Amino acid sequence: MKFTLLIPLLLVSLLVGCSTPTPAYKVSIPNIQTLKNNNSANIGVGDFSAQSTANDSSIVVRASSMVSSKGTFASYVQDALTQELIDAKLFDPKSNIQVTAILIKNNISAASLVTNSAEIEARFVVKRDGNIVFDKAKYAQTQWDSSFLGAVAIPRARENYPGVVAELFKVLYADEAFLTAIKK
Amino acid sequence: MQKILIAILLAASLLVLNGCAHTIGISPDVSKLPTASPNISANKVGYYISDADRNRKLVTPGGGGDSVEHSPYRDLESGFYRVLSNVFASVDQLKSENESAFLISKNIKYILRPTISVTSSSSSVLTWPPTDFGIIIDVTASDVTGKVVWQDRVSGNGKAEFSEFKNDFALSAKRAAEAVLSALQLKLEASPLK
Repeated sequence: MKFTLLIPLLLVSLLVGCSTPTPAYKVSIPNIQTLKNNNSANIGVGDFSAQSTANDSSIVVRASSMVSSKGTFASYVQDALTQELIDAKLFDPKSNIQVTAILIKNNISAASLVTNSAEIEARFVVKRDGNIVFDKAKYAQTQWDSSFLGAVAIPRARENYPGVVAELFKVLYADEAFLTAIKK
Repeated sequence: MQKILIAILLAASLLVLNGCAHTIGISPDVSKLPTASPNISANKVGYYISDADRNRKLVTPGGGGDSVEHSPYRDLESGFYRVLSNVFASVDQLKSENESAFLISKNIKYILRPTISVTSSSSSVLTWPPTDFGIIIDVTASDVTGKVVWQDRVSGNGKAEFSEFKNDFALSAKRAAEAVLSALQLKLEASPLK
């Protein structure tokens, strides 16, 4: 009897992943082109933190969880922005223009067997010579085809996470007020 | 009885896990790639990857009879861009192969086209993530007239054992990506394009 109980438990354990890290952030080339075409000044990246409403330490993805490869998700977004600025040749930690952010939402909805989605929201603040020149919350959502099988749906959700971060930056860079705030 | 049940369990486990193409992302952590060349070339370059290649999904062997599915052009593009940025003054993504007006307006001197091929395998019959991953990038550079001025091939291999990849199933692939892109930067730094 005890073995008949053991079998489903062990099978379930095979399907349930451990906490796995986010994939490395893939910079968005169109995002970089937007920054380069803006005649932007060099920019530094300051503190990134998270509200308690955001999943900053881990995100539940069905029976698994995803943790940030950079420690926290706020740090992941901070590093992602830094990488985009480096590739745009605009990163200068000592610049008089500094971008900071607070993560407000950070979630993956993976329950559906057909379509899964991710959403992220952050409040970005740009300071120039210590004065706030931009202060807005930005929101992005992405979705992708999912699967009944957790073994397919969970890795797919994980692989799609960097995309919602890129989408967040796309929304940010589409704001003329932000582009003006970082101009030379 | 216990042995029979264990055998059933193992067989069921293999059935559950067998035959799948597991999606993995093979993007390298660009912060682990070499830093910018101390003498960045003044030349400006563009690169072209077709949408068909960018959306191309390859399926290569994993372990235990399973396979892995990945998108090498999409996943390596950011690293490719970083390497070009580390060597040349400016890098632009080209939307098509014939953008002469854009090339002139951006003062682009060379256009680079990567061709990527991938191999993978696993020494394990019980786990699906590949323990060995190989990436080859053939790069062709042409001038604005379309004349090929340089071409070369770089390869990178990554290995990962179970104790390492249990928390990152694509670890061998990411190591291969970092190796091949690091090798590419060295080739470009020594090339006549610079």
